[in-house]
Amino acid sequence: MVKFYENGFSYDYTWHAVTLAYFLRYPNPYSTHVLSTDVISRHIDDAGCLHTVRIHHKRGKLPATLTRFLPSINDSYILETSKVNPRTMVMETETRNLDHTSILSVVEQQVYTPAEDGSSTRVKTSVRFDSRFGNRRAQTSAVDHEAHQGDEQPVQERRRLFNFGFGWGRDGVQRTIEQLGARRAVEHLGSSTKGMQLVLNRLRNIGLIGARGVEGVGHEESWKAVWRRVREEIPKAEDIDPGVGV
Amino acid sequence: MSASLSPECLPAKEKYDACFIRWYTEKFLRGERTEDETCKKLFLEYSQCLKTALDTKGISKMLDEARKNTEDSDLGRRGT
Repeated sequence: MVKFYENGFSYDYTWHAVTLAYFLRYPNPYSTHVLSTDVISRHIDDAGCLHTVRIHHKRGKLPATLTRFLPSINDSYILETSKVNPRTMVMETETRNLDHTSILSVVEQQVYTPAEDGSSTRVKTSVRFDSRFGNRRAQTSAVDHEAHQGDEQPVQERRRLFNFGFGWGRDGVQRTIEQLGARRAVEHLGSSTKGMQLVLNRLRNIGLIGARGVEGVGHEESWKAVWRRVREEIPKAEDIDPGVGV
Repeated sequence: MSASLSPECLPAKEKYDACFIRWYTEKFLRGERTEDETCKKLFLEYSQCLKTALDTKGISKMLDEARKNTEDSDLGRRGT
């Protein structure tokens, strides 16, 4: 079973600025669940595209409905791959959960391109939810059934195996996991967009991005000052503009 | 910048992050295609530190599995 979600959005910043904010987006006040971010690998390919693989460690519990019959999950690792093509001005990103994939796999893909006038950036997001929860047991059940010649109610037998005391079959459980996952992911997309907006606003205040896109800083000393402000000001919880975001 | 999975790798990570962001804004986005040697060296130090954490937390194994699962489907489909 698979569920999809698609969304389009636009940032009022140049493509160059948005790609920079993407690499600087954690931590921000909307991402307090992100515990750490590490770069696993980075290289430039023959076409001049920058490839980055990062891993994010996130804290977060599943909704109570799910924790009733699933092992408790307190954290997860998210794999993020990105490709920046500065020539065609396309940034493609993908995030997916590395663990708990037998319960729910969530793959989010985004494509960032400049809008026609060049002053804003379009983002197309698609998310794919796939729960295979209980599939392995289904196979076991089929094998068991073959061994018991003359079982007249194979469907019922299978249902019983996937009855968690809620009266749901396996399909129902998978569907519920996907729906809850989708609801969570849509909420997450809203807060990650707000986070990007805030990071962009703050980068502009710091002076790293301006009307022409990303500004050069030049001297070593002024770079150090800018970098110190990036580290100090972007994660700050105060002065969040209530108008920022979606 | 964000924390690291492994607190002892944070100093190395911060040095590398600062180097990368400066290169990204001042070189890469302005059309330069070559990697920065200083950043490369800093990345090596950072990733050597991180490797231990990735192995002990079982993340290296998860990464290998994810790579196996995605190489055929996703990369082929998206290949631009």
